[in-house]
Amino acid sequence: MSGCRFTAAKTVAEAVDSLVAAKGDGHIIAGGVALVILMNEKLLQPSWLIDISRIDELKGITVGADRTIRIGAAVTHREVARSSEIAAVYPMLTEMASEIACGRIMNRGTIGGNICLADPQGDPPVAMLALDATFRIAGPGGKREVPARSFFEDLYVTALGEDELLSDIHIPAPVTNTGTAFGKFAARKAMDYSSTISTAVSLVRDPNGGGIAEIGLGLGGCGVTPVWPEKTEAVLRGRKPDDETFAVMRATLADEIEPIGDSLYSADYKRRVAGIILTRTVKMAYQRTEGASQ
Amino acid sequence: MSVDITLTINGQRRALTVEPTDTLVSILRDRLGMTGTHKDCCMGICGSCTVLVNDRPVSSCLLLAAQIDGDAVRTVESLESKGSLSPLQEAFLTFGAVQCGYCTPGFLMTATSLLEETPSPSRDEIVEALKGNLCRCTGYKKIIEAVESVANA
Amino acid sequence: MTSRWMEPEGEKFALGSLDEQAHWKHEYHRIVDDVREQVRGKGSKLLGAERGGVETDTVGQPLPRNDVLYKVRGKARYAANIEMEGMLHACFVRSEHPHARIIKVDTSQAEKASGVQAVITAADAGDELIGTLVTDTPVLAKDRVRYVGEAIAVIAADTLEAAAAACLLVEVEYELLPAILTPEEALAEGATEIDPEGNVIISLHNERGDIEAGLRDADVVLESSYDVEQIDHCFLEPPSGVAFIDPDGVLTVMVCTQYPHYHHKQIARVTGLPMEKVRVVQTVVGGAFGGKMDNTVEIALALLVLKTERPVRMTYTREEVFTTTTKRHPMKIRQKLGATNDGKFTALDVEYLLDGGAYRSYSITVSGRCVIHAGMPYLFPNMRVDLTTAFTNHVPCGAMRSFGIVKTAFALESQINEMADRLGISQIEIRRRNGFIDGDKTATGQTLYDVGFLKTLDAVEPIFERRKAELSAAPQVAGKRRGLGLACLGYGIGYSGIRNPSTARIRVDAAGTVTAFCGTPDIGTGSDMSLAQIAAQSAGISVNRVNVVSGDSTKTDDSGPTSASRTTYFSGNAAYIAGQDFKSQFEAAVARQMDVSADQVRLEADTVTVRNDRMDFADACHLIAGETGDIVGYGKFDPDIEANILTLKGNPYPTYTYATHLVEIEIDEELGSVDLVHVWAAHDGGTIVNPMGTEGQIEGGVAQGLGQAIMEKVVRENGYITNPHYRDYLLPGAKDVPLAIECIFIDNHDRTGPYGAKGVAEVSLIPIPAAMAGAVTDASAIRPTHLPMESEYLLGLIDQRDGGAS
Repeated sequence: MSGCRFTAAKTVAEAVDSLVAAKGDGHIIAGGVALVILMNEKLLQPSWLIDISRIDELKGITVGADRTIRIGAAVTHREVARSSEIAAVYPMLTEMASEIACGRIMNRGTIGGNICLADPQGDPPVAMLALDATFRIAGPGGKREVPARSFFEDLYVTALGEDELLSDIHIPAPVTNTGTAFGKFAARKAMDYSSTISTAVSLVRDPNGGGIAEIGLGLGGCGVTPVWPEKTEAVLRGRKPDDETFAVMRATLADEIEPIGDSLYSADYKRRVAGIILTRTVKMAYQRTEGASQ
Repeated sequence: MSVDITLTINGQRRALTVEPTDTLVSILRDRLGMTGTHKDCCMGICGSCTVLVNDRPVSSCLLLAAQIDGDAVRTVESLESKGSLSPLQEAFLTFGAVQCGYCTPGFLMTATSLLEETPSPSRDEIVEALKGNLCRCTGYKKIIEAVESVANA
Repeated sequence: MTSRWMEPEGEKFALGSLDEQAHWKHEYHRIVDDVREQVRGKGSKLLGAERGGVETDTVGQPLPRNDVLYKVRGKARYAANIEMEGMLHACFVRSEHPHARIIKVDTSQAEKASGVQAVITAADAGDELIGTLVTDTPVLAKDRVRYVGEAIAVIAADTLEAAAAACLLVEVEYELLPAILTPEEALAEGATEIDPEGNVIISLHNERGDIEAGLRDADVVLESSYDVEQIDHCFLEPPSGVAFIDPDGVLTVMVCTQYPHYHHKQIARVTGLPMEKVRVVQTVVGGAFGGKMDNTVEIALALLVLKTERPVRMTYTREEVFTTTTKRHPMKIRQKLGATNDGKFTALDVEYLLDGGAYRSYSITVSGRCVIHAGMPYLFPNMRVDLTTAFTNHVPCGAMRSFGIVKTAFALESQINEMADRLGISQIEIRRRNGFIDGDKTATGQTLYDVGFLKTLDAVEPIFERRKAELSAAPQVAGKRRGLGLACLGYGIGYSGIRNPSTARIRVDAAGTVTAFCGTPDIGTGSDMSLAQIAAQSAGISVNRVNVVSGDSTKTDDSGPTSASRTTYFSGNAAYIAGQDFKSQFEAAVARQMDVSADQVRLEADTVTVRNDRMDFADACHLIAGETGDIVGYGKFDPDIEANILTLKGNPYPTYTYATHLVEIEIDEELGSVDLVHVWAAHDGGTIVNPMGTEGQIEGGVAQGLGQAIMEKVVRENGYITNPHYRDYLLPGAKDVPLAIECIFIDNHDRTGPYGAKGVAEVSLIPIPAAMAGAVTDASAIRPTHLPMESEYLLGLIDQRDGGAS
């Protein structure tokens, strides 16, 4: 007997009601790929599991005529990776989702679950930060919105209250001359779960002069949370993507982030790698802006 | 608190009463005696527990059975039919794709799903599909060649 | 109580009814025959045209293995799959400290816990010590623990959850002792003693010629230090076993071990049971690589079964495998290499320092092999080799694929490459000038024969030259560089310096079923198939008739473990001799029935020919039905091996295998990360009994070499292993290992091997780290001396090259 209660919620309201009734002891489970590891390792013995994996309101990918994107929290990484509509708007999102771990994890893991876990190395948060996404959160008081850039508070701590769940993700439409890219560094080529560095870039090229008109960045593996490097964005804005700019970018980035050294890489190495990967990813995003030359 | 679920396992409907915390791998191996699906890391990395749920490969060690009520599960035991190996199984035999065999059911299920979805995958697509299954014996080459041989048949 | 898992002889695999088994055997033979049809006419060129008889030309054919059919069906009998009525589950209570006195072990709460059937501590285990080479290890820790994870108690309960919960209720009171974490600390003056005999497991010294003169005579002397971190076998199947008392009162342990006979003897000694009342049966082994020889679950299971009188099963968790099973020895190497300007080696002066962990395990064998192999496969007229292996308060280090030679080769081959570069001589040519040839004497004074080493260099040279030219002509991709690297190996087959005979028996029944009893078990490498091929070829019958029974301690003689690449050569020779004996006995029996002289009867190609009449082998069996029970071909292979491990003189191995590997890598100079792009592996294994199986071994070895080269390491902090998961212990996946691995088997025939075979199995990982290091040097002009060559480490070398960090 596990002594664990199970609710297969059919609606968001039902899920929220269960969370409230559980008084802080409830666990939302969608794909389960993060939660069940904790259970298998005996780090978590849940008393109430609230399954949201089949709630219709949490599913679906919608791309509006205005090219804004809405993704349900319980959409799997595979669904994001296979969505031709998303690929047409933000190739970077497709790249990011396709490179998560491996097929098995992509088939169950959800974008919402990954975001709410707030693993500093997780990839979806990194993309959300670059794209300036907004998260819609459902709770007993109804729905509220939190920008991705304010959502990640501390190690595995987000802006979610204990009786709230993430319901959907809203991504603004790209403006003209936008290019996006995602770049990752890891010690092996798949199933990268430790010590990875990832970077997401959304960039707008100024058609007059070719400078970086607007830029959105996100970083993984560079701190205790997924990182939104505002200062690094600032030094890129208005500049051309040349070697001097990138040198300034790397110097600013090195100062701005506090990566955590581990048994594989030191903090200084991670700083350096972040700079190199970001350089490559910015260049890639720039090349993808419509009409970009070389 | 137990949960009643129905799973279609290898084509057969099974009504089961499970604990919310029961993983699919423990139901398959310990409850149903279907030990073709293996268990090692229990964190979704090695792939030795791979089964298909609604035709897609998943880590059965990370899947709570209670969450897949009504779904279809396929394991390595489903690949043979009427006393014959599937072409993929036979290719694993003749290409030397199996040494100790512990990773084999996981690779077979992942490759089966790939071939159902993409009947003629390129070599790169095969490697991409199998990138998440660990093998310590073969170095992967003969596994990929075995899948390729069926892909190009 | 019976078990559906106690199948008839020869069947390792749990199946349904006998009809089903027969059906699948038929299916398997159909597939084998299909393969043989495809290779028909190609036969095996290594056997020569005079052999003829393609139907039984099985040696040299790429036949699929008999056990694989069950593995692809998901019906293979791994121990964790075995279920028995009334079975209990067990788990260990383990030390939380690297070094401590045990003051008290309080099991009272655990014993009362729900579902618990037995709690065993050192008090119940008796005073017998256990161990593989030296019995120095307590069954369960009694007065002291020497490493984090050392077993203190074991509990059996109705469910695994109950057993695990009860383990948490055992209270152990410790008095902490200073923990020794490195060999240097262990050897320091006044260090805390880990073992009653001190902190040195073994110290060895070997010399040849006059080392000081050799160093003086050199035009160039290179001196470097190298170090190699610890890695883990990472076989995917965690150690697992089931034990029970069979209807005849025999304590039976079914377990995934490389050495059933060893456990049989040890269990008998520890439990006090007579040998006839113990049986150890190997289950299907999900990988071993040297890590499934030492005791893991075996003795605990035996004690629990005796106490509870119920079957008991135990399976390690993956974390438990990482934190408690034997590991590779971390090693430091200080090496001087001297050569003249024309590339002739004059001196090798090397010191090895190994971390042996808390108990001796296979340290003596690893240490001996390292010293014996120093300088191999090259002739160094002057040598000095010193080795010390020390105890530390870590998990014991034991046997792992190549017994240390992957590490010694890393140092030697790297330094040879450096010497070649320094002298302006090609890396192939310098090896050619010094490599062993027939008639050379090794550092132990052994005269070598059938040495195919130079042929492996010859095979690789044109590829090396071609690829070098292609790479220099190819356009540079910014920030990425390609490089080529070369490394070689010479490796002795069999257990170092001690007699390790193998035996085989081949028996036939009236229906024509032939059973070959071979002591050395198949640990997933396919050795059962190779032995079946050799036995069948030698006996003159179809390989489809041969069932191999191996890995059962009561049905086969102790032929040593499956280890040290010895199975093809030792057990293959035994199978060959048994086959010849079988054939002559069979022919004699037919002759008696037909009233002719024995020399008029010939068994070949599954056919018996008597003068001009031919009959099928099965019909011949009917003919001599009354006698078939008495025909048992017997083979014992026990070559003259002797080396004094203290003087290191003599013939430590009956034969040696050699190889040259060429690799191509690509390095990203901004990040320091390396990809392995292409491998060409030229091997001298003599006759290759099963080319598909051997290729598979080589490809797998390359993958393991890649792991050791750039991504694997056991991280130890204050005696604790802090990366005991696949998340943080990185194994290469299908995207890391290149598909471009080409195996070249050079033409050679070992006059003492079965059909000229030597064995290849474990060695293919040996050259990879050195070859990759050499390729990194070629690409980026940096010389790595540390394994693993992680990207941060290589970037540091690149920074030094460029005069400081950017």
